[in-house]
Amino acid sequence: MTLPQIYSAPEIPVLENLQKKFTDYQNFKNNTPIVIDYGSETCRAGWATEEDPRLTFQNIVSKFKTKKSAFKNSILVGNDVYSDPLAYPNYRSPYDNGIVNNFDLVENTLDYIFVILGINTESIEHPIVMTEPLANLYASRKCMNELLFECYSTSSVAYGIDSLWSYYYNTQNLNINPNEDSIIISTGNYFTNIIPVFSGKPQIQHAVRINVGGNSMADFMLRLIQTKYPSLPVKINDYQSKLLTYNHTYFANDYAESLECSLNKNNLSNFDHIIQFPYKTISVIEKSQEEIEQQAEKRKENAKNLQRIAVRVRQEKLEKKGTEKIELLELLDEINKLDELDSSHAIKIKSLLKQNDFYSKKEIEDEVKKIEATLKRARDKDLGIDPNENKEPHKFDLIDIPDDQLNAEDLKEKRKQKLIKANIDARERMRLAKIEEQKKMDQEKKKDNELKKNNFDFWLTQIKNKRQAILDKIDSKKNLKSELSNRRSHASQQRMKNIADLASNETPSTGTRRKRQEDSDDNFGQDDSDWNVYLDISKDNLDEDDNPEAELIQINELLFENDPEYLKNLDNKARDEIENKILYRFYSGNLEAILTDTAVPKEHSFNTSNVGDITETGDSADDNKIITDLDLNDDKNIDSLPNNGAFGLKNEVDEINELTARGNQIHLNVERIRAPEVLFDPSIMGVDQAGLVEAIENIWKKFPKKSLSFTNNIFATGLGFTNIPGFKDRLKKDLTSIFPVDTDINIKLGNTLGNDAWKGAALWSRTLFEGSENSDYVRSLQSNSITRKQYEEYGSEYLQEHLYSNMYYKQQN
Amino acid sequence: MSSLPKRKKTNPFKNNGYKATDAEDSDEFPTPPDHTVVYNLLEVEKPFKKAKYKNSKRIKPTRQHIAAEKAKEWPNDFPTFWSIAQAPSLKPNKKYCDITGLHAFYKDPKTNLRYHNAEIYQAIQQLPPSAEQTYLSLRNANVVLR
Repeated sequence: MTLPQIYSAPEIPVLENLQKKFTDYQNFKNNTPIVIDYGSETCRAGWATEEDPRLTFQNIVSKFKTKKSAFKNSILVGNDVYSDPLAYPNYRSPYDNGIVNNFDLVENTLDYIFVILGINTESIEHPIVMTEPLANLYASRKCMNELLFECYSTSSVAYGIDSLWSYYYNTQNLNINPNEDSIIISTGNYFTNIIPVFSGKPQIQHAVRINVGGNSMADFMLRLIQTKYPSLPVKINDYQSKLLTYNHTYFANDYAESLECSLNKNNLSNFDHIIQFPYKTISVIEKSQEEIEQQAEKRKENAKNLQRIAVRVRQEKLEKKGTEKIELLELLDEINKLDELDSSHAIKIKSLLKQNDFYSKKEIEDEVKKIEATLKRARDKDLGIDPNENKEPHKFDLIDIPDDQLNAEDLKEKRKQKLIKANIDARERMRLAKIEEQKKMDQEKKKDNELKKNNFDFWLTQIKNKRQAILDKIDSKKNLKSELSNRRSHASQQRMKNIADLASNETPSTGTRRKRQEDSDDNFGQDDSDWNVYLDISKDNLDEDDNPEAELIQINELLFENDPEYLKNLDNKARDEIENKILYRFYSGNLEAILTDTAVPKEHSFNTSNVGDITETGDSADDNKIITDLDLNDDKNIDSLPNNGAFGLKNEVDEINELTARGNQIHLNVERIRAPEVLFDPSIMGVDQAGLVEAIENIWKKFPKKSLSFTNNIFATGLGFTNIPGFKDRLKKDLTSIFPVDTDINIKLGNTLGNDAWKGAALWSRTLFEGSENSDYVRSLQSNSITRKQYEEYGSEYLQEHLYSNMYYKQQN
Repeated sequence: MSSLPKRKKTNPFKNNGYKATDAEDSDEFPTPPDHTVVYNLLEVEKPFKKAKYKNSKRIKPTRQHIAAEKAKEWPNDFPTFWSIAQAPSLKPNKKYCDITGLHAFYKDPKTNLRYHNAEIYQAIQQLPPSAEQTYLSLRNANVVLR
């Protein structure tokens, strides 16, 4: 078996270098347009005259209270969020479901952009070229316009669709003929848009949006992991799920076929990815011989001390008894004296008795006798005299004499003797029975040994059968227990029936009425077996004298001495059985199963040598959860944990560590292809929409005369799915199946995927500038931008349409 | 233009190395304030902003905006946010096992979970109560109580 590849779980990085401010603003003072690709995942911003964006940052804002000395309330934007460990957990995005709706955060990001660009004038004197989502909501655009014109007093703003600018940029260097039919597939963070292009002109009115994007895929992945490992001790955050998705998933070329063989055993070692989350290991501190001796010495000394204390306590007790006796004797003397003197002292005697908590003289005498007896016993013990030694044997002389020949006292004595005799006889009988039993057992043992000697094989099979019987017993016990936990099971109903029968006075209607009446007063409880009814109705069968688990351990040890191979094979078989389960492979990949109850006795499965104290090397202890994971669906699986030798585990500590490790890891196998598949079949994650290929098929019908000329120009952009391995091949394969045979399908990926939209927008504004006779960017962009005048005149929802923008329809109010 | 300071690209999602860094020592943050970076947007001068402008702090969720705009009148062929949404598939849905994601050939009538084979059916029988809702929620088929 090849060792599985284990990936360590991604962690939120700590950013060392913050974004530096730029100091070359004076070079751009002549109204150079600022291009902002305001994406939902990444925001890019820079000067239109440059090839690349100055800033590329994750479009998030964190408002939090920092612990750092200088300030309290803090706002960090973009990747700077990673610079403070308190910031990331508080991050928010200006986007909600693919639409910009939190303009407070937009303001923060725009501030950030302008500050970093080094703008120090009183207003933003630059035209702004900005991206917006396909078919952006009017409300969102309205707020953006208000923000840009009212807060920053920009001169003009041009909105365009990111994927269209990306397409525009790539027509220049991807040999897409700018005048040909094409289809643009834009896979974003929230959505995937498909926009047809007729002879170089994008057709927004025919565009289609699938509500599935890179973010939904990562979110789906997170939910998959959470449902698969509900008791994982680590909480996985969005950041981790995103990284896991982008680094471990791929598009299956044939999803159905890949699913089919995804959990095959020989396929799994490559397919299954193990993600290991951090965990604490425990280790053994080995002790030297000297230390062990020292410990033994210490223990001995402690024992001696305890003994000494015990002796002293006993002595003290005896002394106390002695003094008590003397006191009592004195009291007795006094009473006797008073008694002899005069009978009129009766009241005085009574009060004296009462003072000492006695009622009569006799009581005091009894007490004295009792104390004397204890003292004598103690003395005897000290001298080593057996208390029974001096006792004369009981006299049974009166037993055989008939009652009528005895007086009252002798009769009493006779009864006493009778009782004692019965007692002694019973004891004797029991002793004999015990000896008998011992004899029987010895005989059986002898027989057993003989059988073992003469017919070893038969003997062994007998033992094995016995073992199986015990296993069956354990199983049936377990079954009963699990059945009783289910109210509707047969066992539970039987139990309820029993209880009901016991509770009702009505006995089953057999026999005559009189008989039933007799039965109702049925002397229940006189017979011992009557009480077994409680065993029947008790939920956990309390058979205490019957412990199959202990018996199993005994028999396992016996078998291990005589036939170790048999047990090892049994273990291997059990392991194989677990590993052959689909669910086990789904949850644990092709790792070797660890059994809780190995047939091979535990102490033989490790080379236990010098095991000292177990200590944790981690900071704190919370290892109770180790085994809780794996899965909750398959009880067998939880049972299947501990095991042995196969990993080369040295001892139980290693095993525990391995278990902890497994409790803190997740296996990605089916998920690796299941998560990205949402693009082709959104119904997998419950989005009731057709997948990408069906969408393209529908758009194809909208092309003039159902022309197929676009198949040569299928252009994919955006970072949602396009950089997941296998995207292009899968799309091509699926498209081949819907188009006529021999259709030329050519899928072109954007040049830089992420930055194409920004670059396109910058190129677009440069081209407009160069194509016009204007010496000013504001003027050259004017026909494609919302100017301040238009904003004031047409209202804040107004949009100036151009080739790469959304469409605008003036609402009649 | 070429003399621009080179910016270090820090796209966190391109990091394939899984290099974990220690996130504990936040105290070692550079203490002398460096004016070339933005520590805190609140403390930076923003001369380009109108002081008068106050952003409306009321933030409506997107679906409220959509509902409001849907109520207005729109031309038939005008692409709105809701009109460009892809229609449901006309092809029969493929069924996948809710537990493992494998092909599902059966459905448990009690929990409505789809499952791959008898072994997974057994696992479904042992699910803790209402755990099936978590599985169903993966494909939005769970029962939502309001």
